[in-house]
Amino acid sequence: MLNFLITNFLNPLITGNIKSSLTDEEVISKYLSTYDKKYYSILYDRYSNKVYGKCISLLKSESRAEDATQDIFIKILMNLSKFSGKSKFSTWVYSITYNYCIDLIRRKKKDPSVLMDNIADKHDPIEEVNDQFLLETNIKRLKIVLEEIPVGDKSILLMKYQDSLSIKEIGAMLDKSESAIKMKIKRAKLKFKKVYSEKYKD
Amino acid sequence: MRINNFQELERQEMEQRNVPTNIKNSIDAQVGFFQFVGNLFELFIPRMVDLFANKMSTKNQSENSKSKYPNQ
Repeated sequence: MLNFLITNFLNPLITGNIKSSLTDEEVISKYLSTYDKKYYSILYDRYSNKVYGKCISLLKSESRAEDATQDIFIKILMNLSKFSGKSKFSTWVYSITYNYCIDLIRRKKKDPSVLMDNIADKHDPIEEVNDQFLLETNIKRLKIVLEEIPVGDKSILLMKYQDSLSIKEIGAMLDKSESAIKMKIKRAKLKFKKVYSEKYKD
Repeated sequence: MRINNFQELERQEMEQRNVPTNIKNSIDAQVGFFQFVGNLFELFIPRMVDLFANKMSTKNQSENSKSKYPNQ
């Protein structure tokens, strides 16, 4: 009886309070000191929707996204002790998510060019596309254009505009220099505008 | 406030879908398995070492006693 009461009434109350009051870093430190399931459940509840959404968006398949989300969370749990706290936990989670998905796509397509440097294009002058153009694109159109552009370009635009990551953070995430990331963003924006202009002539 | 339709798109998509519960169940099962293996190591490896050490010491003792008292 007491067990029933604790499981059904007390635990949800306690977990609910923990959920709202602890920061990610506090939850991680509690998880690492106790290995109690309720702490990683809090992290899962906070990030599973975003991770799953990113996986669907990049992998374009619900079943692959499910497998990927599962693998990503296992990876996060296994490496939780390596999280140094230099960046925000969310940035670290997204970094694992993007790298996992990009790696999966690269292996599936056997195409190493996903998010790799294109040396031949490096010195070409690139037209600057205004941020406002991307940010204010109609949501339906935005979704369609993001589906059409290469996954490498899509990922970098999502990192910058959806997750609001800085150039430095994206660079650290993809192990590239800040100037290389700036160039990639420029190219991705240009690709976005090109596809948009081809689809919507108005 | 600056419009950001990238974030708005994400928000709308998150509202429309739920994360399948089987993902959490699979993670729970895997983590449970890892914890079980971890506990197994934590519990049994020290016991095995103790057992091995005890065996060795009793073996040495009996060998020593044999050499000391060969007629017993």
